[in-house]
Amino acid sequence: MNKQLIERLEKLEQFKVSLKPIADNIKLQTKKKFHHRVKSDNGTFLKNEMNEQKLVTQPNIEKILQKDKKPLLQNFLKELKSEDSQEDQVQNQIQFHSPINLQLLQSAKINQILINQNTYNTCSSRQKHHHQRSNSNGASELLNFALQRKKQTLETSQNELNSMSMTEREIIVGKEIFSTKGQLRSHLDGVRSILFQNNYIVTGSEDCTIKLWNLNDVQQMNAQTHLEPVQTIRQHDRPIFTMTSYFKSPQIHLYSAGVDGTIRTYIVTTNQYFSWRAHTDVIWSLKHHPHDQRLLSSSADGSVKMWKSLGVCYQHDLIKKGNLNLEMLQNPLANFTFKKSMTGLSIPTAIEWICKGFNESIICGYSDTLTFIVYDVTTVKAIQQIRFDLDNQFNTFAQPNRILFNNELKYIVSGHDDHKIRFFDLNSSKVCKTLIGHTDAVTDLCLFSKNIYQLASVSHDGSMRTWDIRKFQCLHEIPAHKQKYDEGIYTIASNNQYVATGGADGIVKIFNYQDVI
Amino acid sequence: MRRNRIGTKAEFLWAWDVEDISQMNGPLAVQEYIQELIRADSSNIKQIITPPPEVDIHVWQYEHLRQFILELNLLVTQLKGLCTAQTCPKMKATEDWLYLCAAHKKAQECSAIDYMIHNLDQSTSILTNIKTYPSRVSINPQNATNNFAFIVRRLYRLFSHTYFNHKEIFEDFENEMFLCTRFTEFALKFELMSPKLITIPKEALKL
Repeated sequence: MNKQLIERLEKLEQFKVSLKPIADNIKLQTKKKFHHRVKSDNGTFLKNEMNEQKLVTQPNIEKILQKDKKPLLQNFLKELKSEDSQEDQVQNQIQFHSPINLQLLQSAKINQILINQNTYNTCSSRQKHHHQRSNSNGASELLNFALQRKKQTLETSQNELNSMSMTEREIIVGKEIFSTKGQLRSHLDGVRSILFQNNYIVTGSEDCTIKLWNLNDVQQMNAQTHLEPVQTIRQHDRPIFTMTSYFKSPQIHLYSAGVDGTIRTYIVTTNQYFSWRAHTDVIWSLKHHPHDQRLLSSSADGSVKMWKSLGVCYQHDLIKKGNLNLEMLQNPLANFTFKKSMTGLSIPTAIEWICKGFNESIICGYSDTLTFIVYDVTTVKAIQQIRFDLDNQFNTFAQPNRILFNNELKYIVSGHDDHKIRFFDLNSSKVCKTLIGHTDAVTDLCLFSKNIYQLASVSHDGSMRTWDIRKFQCLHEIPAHKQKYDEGIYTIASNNQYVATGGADGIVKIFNYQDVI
Repeated sequence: MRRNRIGTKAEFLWAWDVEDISQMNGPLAVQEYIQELIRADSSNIKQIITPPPEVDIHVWQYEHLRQFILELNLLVTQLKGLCTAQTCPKMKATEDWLYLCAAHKKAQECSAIDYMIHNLDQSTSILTNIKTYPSRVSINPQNATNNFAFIVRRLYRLFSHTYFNHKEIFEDFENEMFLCTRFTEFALKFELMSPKLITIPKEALKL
């Protein structure tokens, strides 16, 4: 044991040494505030690159190296992972050391611009308007610049020619990142919730049923295949609005809720079910803790409640006559409420767990306030408020419909009724970026498990969009569902292979997803 | 805005007025209209099943059938636990008829609850099949005549089993949803079922 430990430590030490110059340079650059360029504007980025390189000089680095007390390697690793702006600086650093890399990197940037142009062209004129307004998308000036660059590179060297052919290839692949895999058409009304869990796709609908689909069947299907669900669960007698699932090996636990204020549990593997009345009004959101036996529910009755969820259920202990007798589960562990005005409780519209190591909290967004509230789970007290502003152009609601937290992402991302996607920094409690593109309320968000720097969003405008959230650019816009009433798409989910969207038209669309970036 | 915004209270869900279908131009306008009528007053059977002049008759029937299956799912949900393989091992309405479940390669005797679930699954499968019904805006008349009468005849058995074996549930459900009444009127109006096959007495319906 000790030997191994020493070996590991040595390796770590070596790694630390090799990482040291890079890390120090990051520090240096941060100190010099070189990264104050507008990240979304590639044009300025390319232009400024040269200046930056001139400013970074070797003696300076050495000075810093001498001065610095050795900070922990892990800190650096952490920074490298989570701080994407710093990651860009690492790229700069590589450029500084080798001019060949610089060229490659620039051509990669151009690739990116061209791909963007590609998606840009596919957008309708109405959406173009949005694109032009948002500085996160390529302006024509930028494009000219990129094309000029392209010409130059073509002229200069054979090396560059090679990378150009790579460019072409990527554009072609870029078009094919999303191809339609097929449709799941068994629901008779809007599909409100989709989960990928183990070998199943689970879909919950306003037609009051939950359907389970086998992923292997989905794998075999094509656009003309009519697929049958492997199981239809008929437990609800009112429309289902939300589901969440938890895999407690070897059992899959499904939780669903909706109009009737009741949470229903179904254990897929053992075919057991039970339910309890959790709220006095519509339940709009359920979120199971990522790895602990706890469940959050938010309701139009103004409360967010935390429940103890099921452990593995055995035939003999908890089950009586097919139903589970679970009195212990029927009292909430905590009840989170927020009161903005004298008139009553604010209605929560989006909830999410924030689990950072041992620190656990939840974040809630409300219908009548432009503030997110972060609650400590153990003390049940509000510990942080994050305010966002309303651009009154649409003169509409800006309630968040989905809040997304991922440990590897430094932001909290939220999709709003005012068509926007906002990025929040938890440390500074501020909005740091806004994405515009959708032409109606954003209803759901998901990250791709292969590449967490790609975000997908769906909206009542009937389209799905994907975004590069390092450059804050729209990569694709895919019209996916027809509108029923004034509702388009309710939900999106993904695993490492597929993306599924559920719409008001009752259809679940499955897309192949390939990672190219 | 005809939208159930996240956070909407139960009393305000779908709380918009019934619209004039000639003004509704969405791709799913027929379903929207039928559901609006049912939500507004489910006892107003005549209005619910009368097709507006601008709607294709097959689309009208198709959307109604989808809605019937949707609501029949709820009837089956009510029956769960009360109608089991023990209480009703065979699918019967009155003692005269025994229905065999056609959802299998070879028709077999399923228990009543299984029969009903298989029946609903199969009917859903037929109506949502991408090959026969790729669009909900235009329905191939050939597919309509082939399938609709068959589906209606088989779905009616769910009502008759419930009426003759679980009368209380039937009555509770009917008082709230008027589903069997609507179904019977619909089947007769569009001649999808012979009047001879209507076994539930008129008194039990809410005409």
